[in-house]
Amino acid sequence: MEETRRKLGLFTLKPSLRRPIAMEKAQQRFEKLVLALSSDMYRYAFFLCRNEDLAEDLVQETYMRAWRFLGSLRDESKAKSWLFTTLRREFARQFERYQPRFDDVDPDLLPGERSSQLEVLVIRRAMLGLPLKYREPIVLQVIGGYSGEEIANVLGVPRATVNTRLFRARQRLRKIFEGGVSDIDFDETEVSS
Amino acid sequence: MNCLEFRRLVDTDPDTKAEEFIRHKAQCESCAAFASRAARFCSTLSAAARIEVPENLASRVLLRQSFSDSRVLFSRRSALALAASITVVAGLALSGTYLLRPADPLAQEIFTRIRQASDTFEYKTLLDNQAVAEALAPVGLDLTGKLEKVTYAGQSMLGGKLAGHIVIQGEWAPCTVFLVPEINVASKYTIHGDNLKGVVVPFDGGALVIVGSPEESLEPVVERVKSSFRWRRA
Repeated sequence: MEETRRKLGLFTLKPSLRRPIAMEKAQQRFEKLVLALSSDMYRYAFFLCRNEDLAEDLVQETYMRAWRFLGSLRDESKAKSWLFTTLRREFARQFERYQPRFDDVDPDLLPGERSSQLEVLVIRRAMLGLPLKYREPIVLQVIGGYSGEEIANVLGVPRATVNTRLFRARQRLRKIFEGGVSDIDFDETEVSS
Repeated sequence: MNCLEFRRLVDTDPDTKAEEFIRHKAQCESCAAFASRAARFCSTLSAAARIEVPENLASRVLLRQSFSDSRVLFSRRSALALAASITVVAGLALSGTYLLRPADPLAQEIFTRIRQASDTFEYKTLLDNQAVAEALAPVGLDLTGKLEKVTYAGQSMLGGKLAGHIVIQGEWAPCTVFLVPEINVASKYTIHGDNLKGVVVPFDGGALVIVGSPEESLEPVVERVKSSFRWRRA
């Protein structure tokens, strides 16, 4: 942990200046969550809101909330799910409050690890163009590594609905990937139970 | 499992380790080929999802948490130590450089100035470019392009320097713009305060500060302003 902090350029307080042990433990726990999950959180946020600035705001707000309620996280293995759910709520809250325009991003200009590949850019654009209800489960699956059951829990919808959305989203993206279609046109009917 | 069920599973749970799935794949050449194509697609999908994360995001989260933590009373030495850590995170030398981070004095000054100049948001008349140019000339700024939707143009003291101060209409609400001369800003970053968000970007040897409402996309405003001004060189 200390090594990671040094790499990030974060100052480490001398033992004599540190906070009480309980607080120090909470701080270490929080730092672990930030260091391990902030990148995935940002990617999830970005695919939700499609705005770089707002995505960072969402991540910041989510972590601030997480810090305030860190004590309620009993099971460390559920941290990712807890944070993703918190971020999703924060997104809903901001959307309700501001009704911002989320489509002001040019996906071709977004930097990515392999963004020089045309097919990656094409799929990224197609992902961003999916309606939210299709975009979110596939992002949770690809970025979050969630199973269908876990996605159903996060979204609060039946597993069958998640399967339908994943199937349609993947099928559509795969067709675009294979050059079959160039636009997003969905049949909105889906299994709901 | 039949071929239809197999292919549906590929599109819903491509990483499944279900025995039936594996058995069918071993037995059906066509479905095995389908799964192979799908695996290549999955790899592309993963790459497409790997949007680059802003530099120092984790540091900024931890930094904000450090300052927001009202439960902890830092000693003066701790505060100084933390300030030192911020310096490292920002990577900015303090000699002639302002540390423009949310908790830093100049960032606070920006929000204070905006509060003090709240009357500037009341102006509704659009200024023509000549009026804008005349208002900012004393600061050493030349208006080199056409800048529209400006409702206020003047000067403010910021960081001990005379800065250009304009209010420009954004997509959602008025945005405050400060053009601060001779301040080294290493790279673009965001600031927050007073239910506002801002962005600080290096600009022609100085800094461009734009602050707007949280829903505003500041990038278009940055581009509009950047393309319209230049510092006058001695």
